[in-house]
Amino acid sequence: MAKIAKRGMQQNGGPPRPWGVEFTDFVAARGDALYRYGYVLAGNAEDAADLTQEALMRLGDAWSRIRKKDDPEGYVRTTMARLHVSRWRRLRRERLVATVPEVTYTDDRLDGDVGLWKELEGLPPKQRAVLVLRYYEDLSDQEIAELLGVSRGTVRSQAARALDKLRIRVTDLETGRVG
Amino acid sequence: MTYDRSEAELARTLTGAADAAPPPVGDLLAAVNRRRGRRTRRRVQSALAVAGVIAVIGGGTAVARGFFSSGGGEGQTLSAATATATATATATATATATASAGPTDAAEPRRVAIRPAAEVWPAAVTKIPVKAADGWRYRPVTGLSATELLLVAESSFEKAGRLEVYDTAAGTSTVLADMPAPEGGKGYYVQDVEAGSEYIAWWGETPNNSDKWADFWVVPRAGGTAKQVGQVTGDLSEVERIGVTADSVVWSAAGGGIYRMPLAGGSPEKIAGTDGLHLMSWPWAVDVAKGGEGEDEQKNQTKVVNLETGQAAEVNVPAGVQGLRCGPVWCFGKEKDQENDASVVQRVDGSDRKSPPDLSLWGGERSLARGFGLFHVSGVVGRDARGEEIEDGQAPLIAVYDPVTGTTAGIGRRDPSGGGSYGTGTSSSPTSVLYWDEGQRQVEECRKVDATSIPRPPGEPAPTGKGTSCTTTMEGGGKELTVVNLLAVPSTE
Repeated sequence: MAKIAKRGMQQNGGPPRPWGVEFTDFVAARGDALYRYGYVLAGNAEDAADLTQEALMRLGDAWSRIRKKDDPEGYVRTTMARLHVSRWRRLRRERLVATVPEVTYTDDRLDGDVGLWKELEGLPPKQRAVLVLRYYEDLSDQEIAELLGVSRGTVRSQAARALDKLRIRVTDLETGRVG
Repeated sequence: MTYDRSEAELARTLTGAADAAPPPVGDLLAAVNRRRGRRTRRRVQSALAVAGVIAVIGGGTAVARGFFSSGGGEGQTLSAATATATATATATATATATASAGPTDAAEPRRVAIRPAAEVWPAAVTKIPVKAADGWRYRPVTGLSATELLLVAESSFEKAGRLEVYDTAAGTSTVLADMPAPEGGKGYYVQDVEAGSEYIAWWGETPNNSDKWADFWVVPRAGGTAKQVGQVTGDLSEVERIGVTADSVVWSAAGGGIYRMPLAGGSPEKIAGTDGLHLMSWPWAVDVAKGGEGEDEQKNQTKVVNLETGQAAEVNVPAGVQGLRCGPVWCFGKEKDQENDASVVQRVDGSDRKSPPDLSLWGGERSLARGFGLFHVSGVVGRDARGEEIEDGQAPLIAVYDPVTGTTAGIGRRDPSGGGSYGTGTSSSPTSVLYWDEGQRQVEECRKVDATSIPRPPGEPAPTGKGTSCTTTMEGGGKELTVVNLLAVPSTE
């Protein structure tokens, strides 16, 4: 097909440009920590990898823009939390719980309450995300509200419900329950 | 119920779990790259505009881990669209090994609720032959009325030879005019055809040489002998879109600016005040270029100008929206946060804003005649246990959206593997016809090959062992085109 009308060769895609060096450095330096955060959010290795990869891919696309804000890690963590509570992810999670028995890899090595870790599985994604952001990321309810795009009241009620389900005593009066 | 745990225990358990996380499989950066290649493939496959015919190659779980290469995109036609998608056996094989224990049909995935155009607007859907009696292949341009389709007949691929009008009520076609090449027109190809109220106009060029040259032609709508209006060179010849009025041909150049040339012949002149403007459909002009890639495509349109009256309307661009494109009344764009590929539809003044479900915008045209929007139907309804996207195999490939009523009509036929092809009319103005070949089937053949022979992105480690290589080709069809003529859709506004 040597002769062809110009219109016939139009395409809007093309192979992706290679990532910049700074981005690959960032992945190398922070990838492990982000994956671990994903593991706490999602509760299993496969979802953790999925969350991390997806969020990093989006960061790579937005790198020039994000870098200016100097907080690429915050961008990735926010993306991961939002992905975790998003609709498609939830659909998938429900299936995983229904079909794949949780592997026990973590159990033997966990410095903490294995029973509690297992019970976290039973929480809806948003409740789990709120707990992770509050107790793992040490964010304030206001920060969590902004990050997830919900009201502070929602953060509090989600946290209260989750803590109640996990039988956790709450000492902070503001959250509405005193064990 | 006793509250026997403390918040400190929760914090310690979460930190402990992070430390005890099983090590991730494979290299993270490579996995991110693979994911990006996959995403890009999905976008490219929908954006391969082959003279109005777009082949969408199946996504879904079977080939979702592979890499897409277009098998000579420029050679694709309705009957011969081919592409190769190759699934690899890289590190993902180990990553998915454990998950494969989980069946993927545990829950019934939801369905995309878009009915085919034949059900939504039965009066607008007709079938026309793929070829004229002499074997020349038809390429639909646009509707001239509710029962007339403007067609270009091609002697060979993309070599337009004549204009015909197809009467969908009678099922017959009439020759309107021959489309001759200009004198000495070696390598000349007609590009866009435009139907004005009195004339039909087109422009052509010699795309395979470096000459900056183009010419314009007109013929009365009733038919007759085509007449060359004139020729242009230089930047003026980088024709983007054309229009035709009662006395002139008008066009915009790729770099912006709108020009006119009298039908009787004469010098081209720039229409005053059109710097930076691009023709959309006479008399409407916009401040964004046609097509556009990357950042240009993401840019929002900010005004719509009526070149006859000089009136300009500012577009009310909402925050968080990109790629907004407006006609005189309606705008189509997408949300910047592409979590669900959400689309944004609104009027130019920002009112009636909505986000139709299951419809997404990628590259390319989004405006159709009568203010209708052209959307892709992702068909993705979820993910399976391996994290691969699940596609609704029954979902249409694309959809026409009527922003006034919210009616959505499905276009094209999706193969079970998720692919298919469709065409949009090639008129310069937003077209009113969409078409596809119902008889065509996408056939995928897979075979085991040595994994090292499978193409992979640069920097990927060479996989070992056996991999599966799949080739997707189009088979069948070639007899009839199913055409949707939006001019035959009952009026709503």
